[in-house]
This record gives sequence, C-alpha cells and structure tokens, in this order.
Amino acid sequence: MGTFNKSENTIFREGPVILVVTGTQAPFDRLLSIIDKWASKQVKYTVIAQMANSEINFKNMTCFDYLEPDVFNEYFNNADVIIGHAGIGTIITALENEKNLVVFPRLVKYNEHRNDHQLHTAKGFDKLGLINVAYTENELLNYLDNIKSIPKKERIDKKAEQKLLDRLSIFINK
Amino acid sequence: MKKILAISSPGGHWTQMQRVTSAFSRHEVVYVSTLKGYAKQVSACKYYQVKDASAWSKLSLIILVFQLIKIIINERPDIVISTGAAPGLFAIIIARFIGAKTIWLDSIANYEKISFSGRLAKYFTHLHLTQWEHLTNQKIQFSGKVL
Repeated sequence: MGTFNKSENTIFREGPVILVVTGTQAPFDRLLSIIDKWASKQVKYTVIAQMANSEINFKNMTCFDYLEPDVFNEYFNNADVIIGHAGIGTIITALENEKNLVVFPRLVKYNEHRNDHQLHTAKGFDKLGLINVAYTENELLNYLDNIKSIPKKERIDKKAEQKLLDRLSIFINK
Repeated sequence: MKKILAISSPGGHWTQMQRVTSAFSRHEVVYVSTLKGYAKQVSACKYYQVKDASAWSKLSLIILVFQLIKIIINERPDIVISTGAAPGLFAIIIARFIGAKTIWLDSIANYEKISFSGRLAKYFTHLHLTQWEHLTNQKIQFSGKVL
C-alpha cells in the first residue's frame, strides 16, 4: 500500500475528497460519527477517515487506523478538504500544503483527551486567523454542508519564524 | 561542529521540530522519536526509534529511560533540544549528567499553560522557550513561533 489508488472498499464519487484526521493516540468517535452520518446523506463526496483504532464500523467512509508517515502524506496531499481534531501535526501540515481545513477540538468532557488543550490550541490559532474551527456539531455540519465555501487560509512556508531560528542558532553556536 | 540530539514525540511535536532544523545547519544532528517511518524523513541524519510512553505506563517508561540513557551515552551530544513531550523531558534530564546544554521549545499547542512535561523540564534546561508571549516568566522566554 503506498498509493492513493481506488480500492475495493473505497466509494469514489465525482466531487472533492474529504480526509478526516484524528491523530495516532486515541480514537475520536464523536467526530467520526458526525461525519459518517453526514456522509450517508450525500452522494457527491469521497470520504476517507484515519480513525486511530476506533472500534465502530463506519459504513459511509473508507477507514484506516494508521499509515506510515510518507503514505499518510500522500493521502493528505490528494485530499481537497481536511476535517481534523485540533492536533498541531494536522494543523501545521494543512497550513504548509494550503489545504482547506476545519478543526473540531477533542474535549475532556467526552473523554477524548487528558485535558482541554485542543480547545485552547484551536482558540489560539483561530485568533491568529489561521484556521477554521467548528466548536459544536452544528458548526461542523454547517461547514460540511457548505464545503465549497470553506474559507481558504494563507499558506505558510516550511520553517519557523526567523526570530525563533536566530535565537536557537545563537544558543547552539555560542 | 557540535552534535545536536533533537528529540520529539510523534505528530505535532515532530512537525514542529522539523520546522526549526535550519537552526541546526553546519552541525551534526541525531533525531529521536517513536515512529519507525520518520527515519526516511531525516535520511541524511542518524535516527533512533524509542518506546512511545505517552500513556505514562510504568513499564514503557522504564524501557524508554534505558533506551535514552544508552543513546545519550553513545552519542555524547553537545546539545539536546526537545519540542516535547515525555521522551524529551527524560532526555533533557539524562543529558545534564553528561554536561550537555539543553533546550526546551514548548509546543505551540500549549496556549493556555505550559505543558506538564515543559513545567518539569524547566528545572533542567539552559534555554526554555514558549511560543505564546502571554506564558512567559523569569525562566520561560518567548522568541517567536514555529509558524
């Protein structure tokens, strides 16, 4: 497995490819269930989900647990829209590749993480105007129903701010 | 030329480390993380895979600490830098025993407060950075973001 080929269990449709990203550490069933339910009611989009060992049998998306980083990047690059948890890997990879991204933070009240740092991360990035955030199921459904008008965010280059790089080099070289 | 050991957990921690690597130019860099597949992304450098102890389970922590002691004794880095989380914290503590200089760059994910690992690591670091200006204090400095 190393390419983004049509496989038996993938329902490829005419419209854009939506990739759902939930990281490597724990399942995120609330997000996956919302999207699976939404996907059952539409015929345009191909939905692919990286589900981190979720035990639910989703019927309307192609699911995989985990992929090696280079294979994952290929899936990522071929997707038109990314819906993700508010993990930094997901956010930065989407920004670097100028992908349309909507994040849905994991919340501690649903046992989705050890704390609410994803909510804080999402708010921080939202304030900087870098990402689209769905804080509730309704907001997420609203983005899904209007996929073509998800606001595009500016692409960032592949390295850190010069000020940070300079601070590190000075320390390393002294 | 110095030897830098750059250690990070997978996912966002690793992504952030990759965004500061240009600060390591002209030095020898050894990378440490928990996924086998990352080796390909840093193929010009040495790469060590260690145990993922993100769940803080006792057995995996013990294995991780022994792996890190072995790597650090063998490699003898001049500098150890981490973007988090647990493996980086342990590497920084171990690195102090061989006299290395240590850097913690707290993940940009930590907007509300410094990470748990970062709060512990601050007792062992020479340079401790946050990526959010409102989280600075006497020890923890801000000097820009990985973005």
